[in-house]
Amino acid sequence: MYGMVHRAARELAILRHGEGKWNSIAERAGVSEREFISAEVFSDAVTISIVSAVADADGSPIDQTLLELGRHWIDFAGRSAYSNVMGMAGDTLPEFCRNLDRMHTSIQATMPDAIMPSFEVETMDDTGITLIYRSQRTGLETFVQGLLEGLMARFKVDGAVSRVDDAHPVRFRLTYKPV
Amino acid sequence: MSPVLSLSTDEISGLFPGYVRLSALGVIEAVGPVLTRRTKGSLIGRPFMDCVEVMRPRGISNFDDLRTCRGQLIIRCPEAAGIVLKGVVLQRDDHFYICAGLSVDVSGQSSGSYRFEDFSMADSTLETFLAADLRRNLLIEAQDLATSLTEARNRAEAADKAKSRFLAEISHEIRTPLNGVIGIADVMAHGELSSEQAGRLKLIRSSGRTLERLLNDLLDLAKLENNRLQLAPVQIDLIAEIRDALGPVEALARVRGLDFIIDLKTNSPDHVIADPIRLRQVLSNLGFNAVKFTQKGSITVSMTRTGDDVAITIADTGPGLTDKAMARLFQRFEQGDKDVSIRYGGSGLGLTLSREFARLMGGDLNVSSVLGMGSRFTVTLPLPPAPPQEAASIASSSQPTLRPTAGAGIRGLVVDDNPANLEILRVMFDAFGIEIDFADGGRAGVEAWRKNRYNLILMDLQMPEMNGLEAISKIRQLEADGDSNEEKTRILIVSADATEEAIAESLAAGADGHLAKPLRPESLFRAVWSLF
Ligand code: HEM
Repeated sequence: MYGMVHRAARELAILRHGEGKWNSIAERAGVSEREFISAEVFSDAVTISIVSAVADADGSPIDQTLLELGRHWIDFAGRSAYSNVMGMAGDTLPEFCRNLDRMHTSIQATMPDAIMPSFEVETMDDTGITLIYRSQRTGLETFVQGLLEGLMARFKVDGAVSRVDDAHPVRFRLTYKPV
Repeated sequence: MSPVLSLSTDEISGLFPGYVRLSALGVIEAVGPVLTRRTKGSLIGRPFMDCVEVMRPRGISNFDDLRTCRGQLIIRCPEAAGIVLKGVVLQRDDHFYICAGLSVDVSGQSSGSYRFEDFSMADSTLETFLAADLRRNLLIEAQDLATSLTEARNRAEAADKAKSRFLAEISHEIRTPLNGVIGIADVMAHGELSSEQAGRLKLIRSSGRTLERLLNDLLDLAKLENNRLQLAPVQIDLIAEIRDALGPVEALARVRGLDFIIDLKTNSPDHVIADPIRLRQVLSNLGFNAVKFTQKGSITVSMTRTGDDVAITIADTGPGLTDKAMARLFQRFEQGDKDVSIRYGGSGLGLTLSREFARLMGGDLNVSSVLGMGSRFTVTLPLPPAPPQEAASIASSSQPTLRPTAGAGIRGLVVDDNPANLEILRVMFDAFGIEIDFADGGRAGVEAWRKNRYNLILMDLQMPEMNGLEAISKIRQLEADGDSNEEKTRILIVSADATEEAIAESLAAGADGHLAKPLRPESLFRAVWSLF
């Protein structure tokens, strides 16, 4: 994945464990400054080894760290170089979800080596949103779950995110808490 | 003409996010997402021409002109945050459509105000816009990275400076006791010794000198790193200087059974301007290095001159160097080969320093070598000829011989606040039959002189309360105020600072001479005899 994803993981780990511990996490993951250059592409194996090293430091299973990385990404992207893009994608949760696909498609022009996910709004009403997630990768479902939770928090929507079932394509349900 | 496409409102919005639908009379009936969000519906029901400025084509001032316009339209909408739309006018039934998209400002000034819906699905304006935005931000990241690398480098340099300072300080700390060891060993060498003692003493002295050389190298290195090493160029007799510098090398080469060939016949003028100390240092480093690594064969010294540039080459028939070893040769603390450093010892600083000195003098030091055949080190230096009229004042390196007379009639006083220095001097003076007293500071020195009228004073410079120069001035003043027939006191400054300025300052304060630390019995007595 692009180095920008590693950057978010590094920021999360430093927030949790501090700069000093980060150095040993990075050493364990076998990465240097270079892997954190946003515009450079690295094999997914590098990404996995960074996330695993952070998970080790967290003392939690990798899925837990992926979930938290998803939540953190929304916050990270909202503050960083991507804040304009995040802002342009919508002022409300439904609008943002509708634009997720277009967002990744449009970013692809700048990041040609990205393997982009696809998001499709299947249903949308007053009780929530059902979103279909398609990807060439597997194993990132908890990451997506965290991302969607992060989005709910970004738009201050009270509610929960869940996998609809184990079927493919993967569906997520964003349920609003009844007022 | 029947319409080819019949589009829903959503579809029109997707294709022309800035569209405006007008009635036959030019009243706004509907607008696309670009205008909806920015005006919150305030345009609906109003005459189009009241709400916009038509920037292109020029000269459109009423709806009739607009209706018939067939070219590209550029309009500005002041009520929608001044956005600019680009499009064309289409007529459908009794409606008019301004089919428009946003004209985007990619300078980054207003990206916060755009939404994805503002961009047509049918073109790549959004991609272009995002590319501009993302690249700009990635550039900032690259700049941040560069800044943090610069900072890291600055920190490393600061640490390096601190290291050099430490090196300089610790070297000074080591120097005083080391001078003690060497000084006393030198004095003992003049005494009666059994052959076993003499052998051991020789070892102490040569180890001491090795340590001293290393220490000097370290100090020079620290000075170079702090850019504090200054050259003191004077007029020198070049050939005499080279012969002098290489004299000890030649002696050692002969002891080792090597041929030492020195060929300095050139068209070079005798007298040139150079810093003799650094020149000697470079040559003797290269010379000793050549001897050190050459088991059999010869060392050849030659010189050529091109214009003001002099090239002095020291060639040996030693083992030679691999390309890799040559590349590492001038790096600090590196020796061509680790085995070699174990066999021959040495700090590995000599060549680094020699090259730095050569460069400081405006020249360079280079090596060429063939493995198994030997190495050639060539130092090239710009050495302009000295103006002839000043040739008389050449710094002479020929030295007066030691006069082994007993020190009758000399009453000496040593003024120094460091007891280690006092002890060394006492041992040296004892060996030559001169009695001396001590004063442990400038003020005490002046007092002692007032009481006992010594005819020789060795004065340290840096002392608390009253420093050496102040003490000398005081004594000279007391002398001037007193009996003019009385014998004048000879005062020698003893200091580690042997720069020309320091010497000039000492003489100006009234000293008769300057002795550089570390003191050697020979130089001490040469200086003393020259005054009596
Ligand atoms: C401005 C914000 C964002 C940018 C710049 C961005 C960019 C990217 C890029 C470049 C990748 C491809 C990684 C690679 O192959 O190198 C990616 C992947 C992904 N993005 Fe985003 N993204 C953003 C926001 C979001 C948001 C808000 C979501 C929320 C659902 C999201 C969900 C994902 C997912 C799930 C993947 C994983 C790809 C996969 O499944 O193969 N992204 N994103």
